This record gives sequence, C-alpha cells and structure tokens, in this order.
Amino acid sequence: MNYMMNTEISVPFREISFPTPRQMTFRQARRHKGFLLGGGVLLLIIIMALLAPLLAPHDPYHQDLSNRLTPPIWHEKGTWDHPLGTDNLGRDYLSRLMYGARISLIIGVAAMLISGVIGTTLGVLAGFFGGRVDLVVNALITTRLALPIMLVALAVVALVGGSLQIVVLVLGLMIWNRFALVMRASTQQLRSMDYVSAAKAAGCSTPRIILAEVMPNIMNNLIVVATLEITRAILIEASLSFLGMGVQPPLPSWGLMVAEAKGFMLFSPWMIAIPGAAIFILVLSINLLGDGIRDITAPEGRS
Amino acid sequence: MSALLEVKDLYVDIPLAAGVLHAVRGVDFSVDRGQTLSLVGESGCGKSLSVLAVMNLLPKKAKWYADTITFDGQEMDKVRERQMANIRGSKMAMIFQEPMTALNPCYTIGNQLEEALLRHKPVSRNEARDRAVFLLEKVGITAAGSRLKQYPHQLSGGLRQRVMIAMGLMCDPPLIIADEPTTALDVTIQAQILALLASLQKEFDMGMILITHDLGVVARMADYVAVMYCGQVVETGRATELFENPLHPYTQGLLRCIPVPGQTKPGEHLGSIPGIVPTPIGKQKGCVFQNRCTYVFNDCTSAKVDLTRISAGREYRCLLSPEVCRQNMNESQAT
Amino acid sequence: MTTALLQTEDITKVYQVSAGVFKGKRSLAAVNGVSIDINRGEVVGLVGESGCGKSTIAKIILSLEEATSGQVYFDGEPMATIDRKERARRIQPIFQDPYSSLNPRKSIGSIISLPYRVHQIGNKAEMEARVTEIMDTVGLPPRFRSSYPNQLSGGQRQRVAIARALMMKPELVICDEPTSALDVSVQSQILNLLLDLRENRGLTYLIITHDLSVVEHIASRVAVMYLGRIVEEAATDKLFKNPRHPYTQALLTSVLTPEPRLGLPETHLGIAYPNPIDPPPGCTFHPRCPKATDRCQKDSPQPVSENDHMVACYFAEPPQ
Repeated sequence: MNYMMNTEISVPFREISFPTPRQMTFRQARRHKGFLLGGGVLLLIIIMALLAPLLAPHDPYHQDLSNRLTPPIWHEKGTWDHPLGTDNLGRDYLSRLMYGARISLIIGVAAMLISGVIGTTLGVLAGFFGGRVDLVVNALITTRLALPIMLVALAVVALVGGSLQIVVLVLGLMIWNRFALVMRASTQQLRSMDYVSAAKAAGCSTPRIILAEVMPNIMNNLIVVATLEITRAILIEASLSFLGMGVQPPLPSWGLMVAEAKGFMLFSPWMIAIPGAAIFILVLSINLLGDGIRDITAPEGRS
Repeated sequence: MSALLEVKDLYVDIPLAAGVLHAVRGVDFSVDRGQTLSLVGESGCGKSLSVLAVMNLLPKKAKWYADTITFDGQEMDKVRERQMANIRGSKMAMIFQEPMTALNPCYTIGNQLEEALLRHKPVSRNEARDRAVFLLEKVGITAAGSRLKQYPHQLSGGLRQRVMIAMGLMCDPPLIIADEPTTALDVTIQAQILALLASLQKEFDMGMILITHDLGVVARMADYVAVMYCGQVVETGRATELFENPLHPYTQGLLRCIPVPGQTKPGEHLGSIPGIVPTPIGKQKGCVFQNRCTYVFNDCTSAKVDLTRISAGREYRCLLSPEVCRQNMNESQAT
Repeated sequence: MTTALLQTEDITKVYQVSAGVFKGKRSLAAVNGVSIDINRGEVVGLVGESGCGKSTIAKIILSLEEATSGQVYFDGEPMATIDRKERARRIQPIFQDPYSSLNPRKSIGSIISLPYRVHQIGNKAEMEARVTEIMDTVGLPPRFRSSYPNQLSGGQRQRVAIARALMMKPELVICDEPTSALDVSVQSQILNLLLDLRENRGLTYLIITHDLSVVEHIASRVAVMYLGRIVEEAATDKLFKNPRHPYTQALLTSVLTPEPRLGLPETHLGIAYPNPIDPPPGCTFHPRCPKATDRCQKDSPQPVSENDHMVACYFAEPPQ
C-alpha cells in the first residue's frame, strides 16, 4: 500500500485549460458505446434508404408470379438473384426492404418535426410564462392524453382513406405530448436563472430571451425527446399499416409487409421475420442513439 | 497522552478527465479532547476532502492514503468499512453545511434522532427518546417533546442546524467534525450556533474539527488552526499566535483581504492576493504559492518546501525565515 | 435641491403562497412599505438577513418584478414611464451567483456584447472595440473572449458579469450580493474593482448584502431591513458607531472579526425565527427583541428621523 506521492519531480502544475462545452460533448460522444453502435446502425439504414435506387437489385413493385415465395439465400432453394427471397407476388424482398426503409424514416422524421414544433412551442410557452398559459397548455395536454392515438388514427383513416400523407399528419398532430411536457419542465428550471434576468435587464425582448437564451440550453433535452418520438411514430405507423389503416399497398412499408406475410407465416416464416427484424433493428438503433445523447449531454457528465 | 485523532501524511487523489487531481498532499493534523482544531482555507484547498478521507466517505473513484491515522488509540488504516460504519455516528459525529438537505424530509425529527442512537447502542426506544428530548433541550429547543413529532420542513434553518447538532451528540461521541456548520445560516443565528457548539464541547469534553473558509469564525472558535492552500498545510499554530503573528505569505495575504469594521479604512483598496489558485494536476516543482506570492524569489520555483517547525504545533511552509516573515508583515501593515 | 437618482416610495410586494395542501393561499409581504432615496454618486448599502426582502427590492427596481403598490422614480420620472431599453441602458444589475448569471452555452464575448447587440448601437467594429476595452478594464485577459463560462473561475465569471453590466455605461448599478459566493481573496479583488470603477466612471451603486464588513468598507449610507421593512437608516459611520435599533445592534455584534482574543459575541436575541408568512403583530422584531414590551406587540413603530439618522423603534438609542 505504498502509494506515496512523489513531489520531487520537476514540471510545474500545467495551466489546465478546460474544454469548451462543444469539445466535451464530442469527446464523450466518441467514447459512448451505445451512441456509436446506435448511430452507426442508423447511419447504415439511412444510407441504404437514400441510395435505394442505386443499391436495390430489382424494382420493388415488379411482380413475377413465376417466382413467388422464393426462400432467402440461407435456404437450399435460395438464389443470389433474390438474396432475401420473394413475396407472394414475386417481388424481390431485399428491394422492398430497402425502399421500405425510406417510408419508415420519412414518416418517423416528418411526424417528429410536426409534433416537435407543436409540442415545443406549447411546452416552452407554458414553462416560461407559467400562470394562465400553463393552465391552458396543461388542459390541452390532458385532453390529448385522453385520446387514444390508435383509435383516432383509425377513425381518420376510415373517414378519408389511408395514405402516407394522412399517416404523417395524424401522427404529427397527436404525438406532441412528450415534447410539451419535457420542454415545459426544462424551461421552468431555466426561467429563474440569473442570466435570464440579466438578459431582461439588458433590455432583451421576451421572444429574444426565449429564442436566444433559453432554447440553446434546452436543445439537449429536445434532441433526446426527438429521437424517441421518431421511434414512436415508426412503430405506430407499422401498427396502422399492419391493420390496413396506414400506408396503402403496393408501397413497401415494413408494417404492410408484415401484414401481407401474416397468411404465409407457417410455411414461409422468413417473410414475416425479415420486416419484423428490420423494424426492431431500426427502433433499437434510434433508441440507443437517443440514450447515448441523453447520457452524453447529461449535466453529471459535464463538470 | 496521545491525541484523540492523529492523521499523518494524508494523500487524496481524484482521477479526472484532464488528469489525476492531487487534491490533498501530505497533510498532517491532530486534535485532542476538549480542543478545537480549525482547518481553514478557500474553496478547493482540500479541507473537506481531508476529513472525508478520515471518515472513509470519499467518492468511490477517489484514492487516498495516509501514513497513520490513529483514533481513540486505534489504528484506523486497518479498519474495514463495516467497522468504519460503526465508528461514524457513534464515535465520530459529523455536522454538515446544509441543514436544509441533511435531514430526511420523510421522517420526523424524533425518528431521526432516535435512529442515530438505536443504530449504534443496544437501548430501548424509550431510552432513545429520552435522550433525544434531553439533547434537544441542551441545544436550546424548547417544547422538545412536541418537536419530536415535527418534520424537518416545519423548522427554520437555525432550528434544523440545532437538531443536526443534537443528532450528532446522541451517542456521546468524543469527536465532532463540523464542515462549514454556519455558512448557510444568517449572521445573527451563526453567532448563537457557534456559541452553542462551544459550550457543548466544553460540557461533554469533545474534540472538534471545524472546517470553514471564514477567518472570523476561526479566530473566535478555534484553539488550533491549520491553514490549507491547494492541498497542503501552509501554516499551523494556536489561533492567538497565528492571527497576531501570521508567518506564511498566504496567511498574511488572507488577513489583509478582509475588511474589518473599525480597522480597515473605508473606501480604500483592500489588500488582495493576485491571480487564482492553481489546479493540482500533474507534478509540481517548488512552492505551491509561487505564482501569487509577493515575496517570491529564485529558490521558490525549484526547491522542495517542507514545513519549518518553530515550536510544538507552530509550523509554516516557506523558505523565508520567521524574522523576515514578521518584517514583511510589519511593513505591509505600515503602508 | 437636486432630485435623487432613484427613489422608491412606500413600495410593497405581496406574494400569494400556498400555506399547505388544504390551507389555501396566504399573503407573504416580502416588502412592506419601503422608501429609499439613492443620490447620484452614492453607494447605498441595503443589509439584512434572509427573508428581509432586499433581493425583492432589487428586482422591483430593475423592473423584473412589479410592486403591488408604491412608486419607483428614476431621475424624477416614474419608472413605469421609462422605456424598456432606456431603463436597460441606465440601470444594470450584478447578481450574486457567478455560476447562474452567465449563459453556459454562450461565449464570453457574446455574453458581454449582448446589451450592445440588443440596443443596436454602432457597427460590429465599434462593438468589438468596446468589448476589448471593457474586458481590459475589468481585468479579463483578451483570450477569454472565445471561452465559455465553464472554463472560468468564480472570480473571473463575476468580472464577466461586471463587464456586461458596464457595456452601456449605466448610471446606476444594482449589486445583489456581488461577492458572497466568492472566496475571500477573490472578494477583495472584486471589491477593489468595484471601488475603482465607481471612481473612474461616476457610478452610483446600490449594494445589497448580508455582510456588514463589506458594507462598512464600501457604502456611504446604510439601510437595515428586517422582514420587509427598513428599521434603521443612516450614514455608514454614524450607523456603525451608534446603532440605534436593537436589531442593528445585534447584527453588528454578530460580525466575527478575525480577533482571536474576543471570543464569541452574545447577541441577546431569542431563539424565535422570522416567518414572513405569519409575521407577528405590531413590530415584526418583537419576538426576538431584548427590549420588547406590550406596546411593541400592539403597534408597529413608525420610522422617525433625527439628525439624519432614521430608526423605527420605541426604544431606540438616542442619536449622536
């Protein structure tokens, strides 16, 4: 246990320069396994979706009834022509999977953006002003929570028919509650900070204070919630499409692929397993990314 | 007669992202029954960490080592955490800075006081309650019986601190460690709490380690003082000696910084110590105070500066001789 | 007679707080009829302990809170009639906590130049020059311009706060416990800086603090507050030589100077503590006052000024 400090050695105490907030964030991001793994997989999926026209071996809508229900490559009857097999209409599964990624990502991001704008605006206003504004926003949140998303979505689709745009709109107008609650809480914590008072005393108008002083400090929480809401939107869309109330065929939505594969589950299990696994992997990677961002930007990791 | 608590050569290292922080380097201190030792220094000097190390309450990633720690005749470095948990509270009581957060809001005062005793001694709940009432009255809380049923949030800061002191005394400990006990309190209440601590110490013949950054508190309360700077002890001595005849340039500098009503001239510049405290990461050559000292000379940047002993208990860590130090003090007071 | 730079007339601020889960709302009078005058060039110290309302008064003067009743006049004009931006140019705050008074996501340069950008005076070059000048005045090395608050020490952050306050060349600076959160050696640096700035720029200060030693050193007049009221007000040397109100006497006795042979002071105060939600009837100080009588429990004493030394107490010491 001879842990003696050797004070004989020569270099004087270095001038320690502490890193800037941005540098600290990057440093921690590089070391966080969940962030790297989730981010990496997500990046691959995004690349696959963006480059689908170049990467997909076949046209996802091209039907080839002579080649129906071909198993994937790991079966004895599989061919490299269709590495993931074909579905009941002879369409190449790999190509459908790649184009399906686009649908999932577009819906996820678009719904997140719409709900993000709604929820953040309501939450920040409620958190900053308190009082009556807070009461009104709370009433709105409670009302929204009383409405089950799935039933509302089903009702809307039953009235006007299902499509990509309808799904995005319904989701965007419904899933903003978490944004509102989290942004409200974050803003409340910050509104009594002295730098907000100092900005007021310097003559800043209220909009300027909210946008320039408060928002940069709640961005971290915002990003974390945003990633979680993307996954929520993706899962709800998959469920809606599975029920036939979301994206309409022949669009290669992964949820729709699961629905179409339902009837063939016993004899061609890969048909349902592959899009199911795809949804799982996408959601998992976004969740890992979101958790990673939360850990990296958490205040404890800062000092 | 050996001291109640004796710590020799204490080191505390804390690994940080920027390197290992040598927060405490070679610190000695000791305290006896009936005595008050004050560890005084500014933020980051290592005074709280030193005491937390002795109580084995440092955060897990901190590493500490001491040549010897003797408490009540027992060698402490051989003591395991389980035994330490028994000693903490029953033989070493700690009073914290924040009375608002040191008490658990979910339990009554009486509950927490009784727990403090029942955890360590095999007494009945009734006996514990009687002792709680006795001590609450000792710390000046009237209607102690009904107070036992109150919750912490129903008491003011000053009252909570009194309850904290009572809690510390439940097991009749020989040593009390008070870490900034009055910093969070109003100034009129601070005087009352300090007077209470002093009288209780006398009555129960306890040793007290008082950690603070407030030199006024130190002057009025402490018998012995150890001034800490950047992880090292730079001066020790009896309070009267140290305040009337400070030797180390840092101690002298600190005393010059304080406005004293009736002594410092209003509207004029206060003395100041230029620069800021260095961060003890990496190795260090020479005196730790070199970049801020008015009297720095060549050797200060290269020689190893140990504690110079003037008499028992009176030491200072500087290459200048005591006479030169005294001269410096007189000169700066004359200007 | 020239008008005071700042006058508050009988300011009151009442908050509605919930007294418990089922007990509904009670009124908390944080400030209860406070009138202060601050003349140009003065340093007025406002002292008191926690809960006395001094910080609330600062917020009201800065228009961060609105008084429930009473008026604030700045340079003779009612504060409400002064435009937000003009107010910002002429009155600036320095807050206590150097860790929360700077936006952690903004660089130092951006923080200091904020008032300039808000008021849109001059162009970018002028602004940069002004920031450089101010940073030099407060003793911040130029390389800190692109640093962030977390890279600076407490004293350095407080200098940034001072620089920001001085950007628009204000007339009145409200310092709310400017050095309480700082180490002793840093405190003296900042106090010296504040003294220099006042002399060089002709500033007027309102210093709010609980530290009597600091007030005695830096203020020309002192007002002592207790539970929302001013109980004594006088020039600094008069107040410290001859404290007339029992609370002021107790406060001064409680100051612990670094003189080891003096031991601990006896404040002669009871154990009762001030509760702003449930203030005692009559004089708010009577539960703790060594001189309290029946009269003190019934009628609150009115402030009486003799020889330019104001005190609100039936048993005040005579003025000198």
